[in-house]
Amino acid sequence: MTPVPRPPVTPVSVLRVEDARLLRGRGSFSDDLDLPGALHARFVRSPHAHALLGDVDVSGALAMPGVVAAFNGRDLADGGVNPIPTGWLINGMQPGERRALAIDRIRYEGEPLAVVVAETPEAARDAATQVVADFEPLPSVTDVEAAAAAGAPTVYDDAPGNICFTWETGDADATRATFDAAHTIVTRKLRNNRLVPNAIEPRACAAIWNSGHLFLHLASQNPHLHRFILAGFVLGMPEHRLHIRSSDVGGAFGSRIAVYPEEVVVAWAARRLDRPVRWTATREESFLADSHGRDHSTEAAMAFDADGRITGLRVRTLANLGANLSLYAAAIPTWYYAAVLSGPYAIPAIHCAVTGLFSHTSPVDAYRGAGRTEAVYVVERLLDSAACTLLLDPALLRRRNLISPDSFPYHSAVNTVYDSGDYERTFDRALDLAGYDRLRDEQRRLAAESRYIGIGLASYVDMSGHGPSREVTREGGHAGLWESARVRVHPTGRVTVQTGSQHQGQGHETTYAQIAASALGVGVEDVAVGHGDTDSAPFGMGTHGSRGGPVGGSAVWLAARRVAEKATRLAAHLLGVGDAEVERSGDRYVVKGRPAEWRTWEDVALAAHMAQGLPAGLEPGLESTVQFDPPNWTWPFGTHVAVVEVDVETGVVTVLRYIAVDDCGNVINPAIVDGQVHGGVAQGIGQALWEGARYDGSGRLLTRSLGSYAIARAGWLPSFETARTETPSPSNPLGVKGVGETGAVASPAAVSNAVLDALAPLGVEHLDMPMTAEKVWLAIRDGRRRQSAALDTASTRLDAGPVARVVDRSRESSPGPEGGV
Amino acid sequence: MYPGPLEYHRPDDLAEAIAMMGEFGDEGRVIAGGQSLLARLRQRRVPVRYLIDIRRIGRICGVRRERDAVVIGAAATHALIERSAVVAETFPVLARVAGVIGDPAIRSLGTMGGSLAEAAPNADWPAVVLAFGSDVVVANPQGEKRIPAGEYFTSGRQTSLEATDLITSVRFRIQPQQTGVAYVKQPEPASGWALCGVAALVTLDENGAIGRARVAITGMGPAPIRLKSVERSLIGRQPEAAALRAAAARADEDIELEDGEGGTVAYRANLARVWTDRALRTAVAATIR
Amino acid sequence: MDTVNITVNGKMTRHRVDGRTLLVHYLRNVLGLTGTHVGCDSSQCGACTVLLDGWPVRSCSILAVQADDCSVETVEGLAPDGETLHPIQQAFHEEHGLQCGFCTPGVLMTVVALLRENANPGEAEIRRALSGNLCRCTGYHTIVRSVLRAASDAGSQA
Repeated sequence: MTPVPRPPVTPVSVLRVEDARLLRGRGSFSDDLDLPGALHARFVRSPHAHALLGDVDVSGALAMPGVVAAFNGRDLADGGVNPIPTGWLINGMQPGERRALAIDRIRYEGEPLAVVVAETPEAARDAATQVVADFEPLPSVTDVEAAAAAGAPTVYDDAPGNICFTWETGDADATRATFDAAHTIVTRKLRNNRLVPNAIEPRACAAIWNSGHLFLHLASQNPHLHRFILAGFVLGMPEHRLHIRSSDVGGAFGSRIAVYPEEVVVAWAARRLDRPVRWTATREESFLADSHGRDHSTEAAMAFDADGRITGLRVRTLANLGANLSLYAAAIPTWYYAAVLSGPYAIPAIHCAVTGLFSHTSPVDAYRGAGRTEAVYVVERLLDSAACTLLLDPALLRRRNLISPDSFPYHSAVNTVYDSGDYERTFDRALDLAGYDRLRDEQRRLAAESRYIGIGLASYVDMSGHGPSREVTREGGHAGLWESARVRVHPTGRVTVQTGSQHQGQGHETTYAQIAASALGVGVEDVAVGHGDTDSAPFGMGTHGSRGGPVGGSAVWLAARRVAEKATRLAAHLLGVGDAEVERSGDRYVVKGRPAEWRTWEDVALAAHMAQGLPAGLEPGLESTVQFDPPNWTWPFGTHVAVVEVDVETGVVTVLRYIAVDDCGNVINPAIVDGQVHGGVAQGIGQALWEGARYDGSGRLLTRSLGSYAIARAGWLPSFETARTETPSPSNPLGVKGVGETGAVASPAAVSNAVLDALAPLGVEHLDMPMTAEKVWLAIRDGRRRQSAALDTASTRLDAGPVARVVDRSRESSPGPEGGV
Repeated sequence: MYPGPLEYHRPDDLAEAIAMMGEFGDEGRVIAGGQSLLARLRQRRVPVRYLIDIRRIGRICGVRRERDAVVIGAAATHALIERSAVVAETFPVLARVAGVIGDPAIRSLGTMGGSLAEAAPNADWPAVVLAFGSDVVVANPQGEKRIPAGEYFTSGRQTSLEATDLITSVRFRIQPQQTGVAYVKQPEPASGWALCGVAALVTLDENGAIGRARVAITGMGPAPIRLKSVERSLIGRQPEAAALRAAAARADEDIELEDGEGGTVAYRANLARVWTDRALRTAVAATIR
Repeated sequence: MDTVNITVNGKMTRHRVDGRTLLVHYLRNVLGLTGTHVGCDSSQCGACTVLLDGWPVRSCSILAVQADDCSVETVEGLAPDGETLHPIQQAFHEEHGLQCGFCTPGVLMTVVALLRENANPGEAEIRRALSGNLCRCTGYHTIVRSVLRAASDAGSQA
């Protein structure tokens, strides 16, 4: 590791540029677009999770007032619309089929099968009920374990056992050997709950066809990718005649990466009808038809030597992919998951095997933390289980296994290379900020009053900054994940940056302006940042996988540096000296040692454009476009501590404190970085305690509104306590690492561990998320029953080994945190 | 998100409103704050064609003190009750109840009358009205009548209201000395409705024993209900923790639960006992001023 | 069709509307005030919160005809000159109280109502007041800070 002595961009919490319009209600979200004469689309969706689909008769809808058109799946296929492709392929996988409107077979509840287009949204809504579809319902399967079971209903006739793919990484033999030689082995069966992203802005789009050109306004995380896939694969239209714009995007969290059926239909209908068509999802549609996240069933085991050092990790995961493959469906539970299974710990041998399974549910794709949240949950739950078994304090056990600071770049047992890190420093800082020893004392004191406090730790490494194209395409990605930026200096010296990434609240317009301003030596207010418009921004891969800073930001930096180098050459020419004799001082280029001889930045910008007397070989203008392809991912890390109290009478869990110490390398805008951590932590606490999609036996989604699926409200969360260490990344010129997901990567594990720490004296060893009040209470009831049964047994038997272990986990006998923490 | 076709009417007074109720019959629906009704109209779950808006009939919007009762107008919003000086002086518990309903925006429009007319099995006011033994005052073409709370809720979402009965107010009788009232609630996280809510009213006699007790529960079963077994076991007891807990332990005797979306019977029965105990303790504490 | 007279941000508006038109659609589609957002269909998210005669209400949960002869305040009315921000908006700006900005107009209107009634709320009161406004970006941390700052800025100016 070569530490960068000073961050290239000085960290300052510049107030956000985008706030002015958003605070005034003058943002431009998709549904805000003023589109006179636009028609309104309403989708007809399947009430069945699995059915043979016969005739879809839209004539009843066509007869309704205000209806202009109605289409079914055959109309679309006949009209040249192709299925939507997936973006990540694994050898031998069954790719399924993702059509914009279903034909012949329904594979999940809410799958769109027809569209009604009308003059008003009310008319479209009224008429949608008049579409008549011929269903022959079939048995369905929504649960991933049930989908894998023998005799389960199958989603595709040619995917026996519902298996889409099997995938493995690591070294099976080496791992087996470590388990054979282990002093202690802990095992856990873990479910990672299915989540619905629930960005507060519903998905929406609007399309205008005009004489061979199609304009699509779409809230997307990657508008260029959308255009490429829509034009090149689905709609079969010339890419240069499709113009996509994403303006303000009301949150995404992974749910706006994929190409969805609705935007395909809206775009096609606008062309077909030669009239503007728009659509905005209802929240129920968000639940039914947005891609979901997580949904794993895992059996995992960890091996330890006599000193409590981890020697091996074995993971077997069933991943629910849903009814068809969304864009990154195959990537998330494989590469994005296994890549961080070593966490911040030195684990000599790891083996991970994943089976991707189809089920009769909405497609599963990226959701904040995608894959890595699931991995951290596996590792951190195993460690707490091990702490219990080994009678070690969970903090002590973790610290003993951290990768030491002199090990970087660190080659993990799952073929990843951690770029930089100082895990012990971050870990110690978190425990210090939490007051860990005092917390344990307090926990013991309150236990005497029958109050149940739990302290949970999670240490993580996140894989962010997706990603080096060579590795991404090697692992299955159709496309590499580089990013672009164009920096243009105008004749007056003011600057416009265009980026291929796309904000959804991360503050790109501010952070990128800071980066460009630093590189060019101009004021932040002199830089405007544009994004999301495929006609004006260079092709880019968008914002997901915590890549806006390390990949997108680096592209901005490099483009601006190129411009700055050219400006220096030009300044030297104007001053009549060699390039090396000019230095920048404030707004001026000054001849070294001759402070009276100078040109301003504006002089240089003007000269570049007026092109009077440019040196030979120097093109006019000051502009550069860069495509940055990182050499590696960036690997942020940290330690989080959650403190909870469980009301054992009701099972209600209250989060008392949440401490997050993260290291995301250099920081450009500390306030924005803190905000990313806050949001991720809140979502992760939600996963641990409240969120979870549930289906009934017929495959119907039960949690289909915000009144039945709980996302965190203000009163349920504490204020967060955050701090940072800064270990620069060598993987990009800014030394930054991605921070968009770290909060959501760590917090489900930290909160789960905290709740189970509180419940340990009550005989509860494990609970799956979400740890709702009822689930917690039932576990306490059962735990107490087991305990009293165990005590009865123990008093009548001498050989009470495994039972005594459970009983010993009372506060009094658990070893304290002393011992080097 | 888009309701079906609706015809909107805003009568000037009660008589006109009641006449409209008769005229529109099943296709008509009275709307006050509309916080439950609008959601169902948007989802087209009720076949309503005519709305009769009573929110601006001044007579039924306020809160007033009468000699023997506090009278809360049917169209008084939860927010108004939360802030009412009359309520603060007489029954501050009502302000606290109003303050745990939904959220501020729901409280701005939602009304006590609307809550009772909807008679949701997990609403807050029904339990409180049962514990107080309030009278629901109703106007109809024949004049006015008072329905005791105990006769008002019949079964799941059903009430003893007739087609042209319009709730105009709810009367909370002034209570004797040494009376304490409490309402405690465990909200269902996503919706905010009561997973379990218990209202308790306790009056101590001259010996300091419990002379009178009314306890009602919401969120447990098809309709809000009095917990008469709990009440019986309280009478004559000194209001000590053990006695309260013993009485609360009988909370599940008066309710009928089924496993379902609301949770397992075991958990919900436990909630009934726990929150009854908490309600009783709070009510007893409130008797000592 | 009914004719409604609704004062919006101090200006009288008068239009014919369908009985079933929600107030939020009156604001967005009839008046073009698209700052008030629709985030759900079950009266849960609060993105559409406006003030009706000073009270915070969900404009998706009231019909336009019900607001006839009433006064409505929306986010567009907070800083009418387009140059400066309302002090509460300014506090949100300075404390990074918004990210994607979609829930922000509803949050702001809720906070306006809160601070009019309680000039100096504590953190618990602020979180309680915001219980009907869902934000998926901030974890509410900086929203709470913003409200505390708005209150303290107003206090120091008084």
